[in-house]
Amino acid sequence: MQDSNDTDFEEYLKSFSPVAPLALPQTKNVRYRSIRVAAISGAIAAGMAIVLTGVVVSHTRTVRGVERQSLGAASAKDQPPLPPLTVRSANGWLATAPSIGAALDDLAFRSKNAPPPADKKSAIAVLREEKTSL
Amino acid sequence: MRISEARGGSKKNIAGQKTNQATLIVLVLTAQVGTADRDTDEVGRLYDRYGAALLLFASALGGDRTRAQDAVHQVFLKLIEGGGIRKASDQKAFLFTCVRNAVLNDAKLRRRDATFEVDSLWFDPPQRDYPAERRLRLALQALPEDQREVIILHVWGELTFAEIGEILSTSANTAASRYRYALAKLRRSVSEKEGFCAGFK
Repeated sequence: MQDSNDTDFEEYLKSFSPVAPLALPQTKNVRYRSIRVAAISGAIAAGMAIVLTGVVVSHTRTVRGVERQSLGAASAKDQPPLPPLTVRSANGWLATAPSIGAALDDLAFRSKNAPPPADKKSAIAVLREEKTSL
Repeated sequence: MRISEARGGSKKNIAGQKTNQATLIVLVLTAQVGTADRDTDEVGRLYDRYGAALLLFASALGGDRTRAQDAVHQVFLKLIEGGGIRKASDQKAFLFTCVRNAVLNDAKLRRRDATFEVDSLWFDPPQRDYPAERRLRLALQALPEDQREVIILHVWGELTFAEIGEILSTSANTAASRYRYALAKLRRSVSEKEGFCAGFK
């Protein structure tokens, strides 16, 4: 139990206020604020990058899809339909072909791709012309 | 047509989700920065409120006023950079504990006992009574360290004996007992030196 003298003495002690400390160093605060600004700008930049990437990727996919659809339709239209394989058409191939082997090759491996333009040669044609000796 | 519309819709949904995610990330980061800003303000407020008592406590523990100032600054700068002040249930007791640890660690590194500076003021005396400030300071320095800690924490830190017991890892009763001894010694010491305040004898 405290007596009145103790209380008075405590009041006397409290009349001495402790000396205030110096202000906190500003350098650390400035560094902290610069880190904060960098964090905000980094976050905004990252967000913008993600949004832009999303937009670009979705746009690219859309364009490619349209191109594929149009190309597919065009190639299907450009190629003439193959005549059905009948006895008559087989006889025709045999009559016009230089040999039976050539007729069979033409029948089995007829290319479905469009022929190259007149001023250009296909890679197979170029290789045929080359005389390589093994 | 329906399939293509559905695909277009799903693409729009994916792009929308990405945008939402980006917005969410930005919001979360901004919120974290905002929290850090509030923490800094909170630490600044605590420094203004308890800085003087903490500096007195550090000076009474370590002796060297400059090192005491550094210890207090170190504690607050760590709180600003690392946060965590909001997690403390009793912020005042937490701060005194941090300062005590910082001073004791510093003393351990220096490997020597506290030697008090004669000329450094610890108090702003009432009515500029600097001789009284010196008497009080010398009387405090003459106390045993455990009693000096308790009397500073209770009188100028305004902590309860239970809080002091937690800080010093002892019981509240022990803290109160130390306080009574310290107060009696302090009163005797201050009164004897100048025949001051006969009512306190």
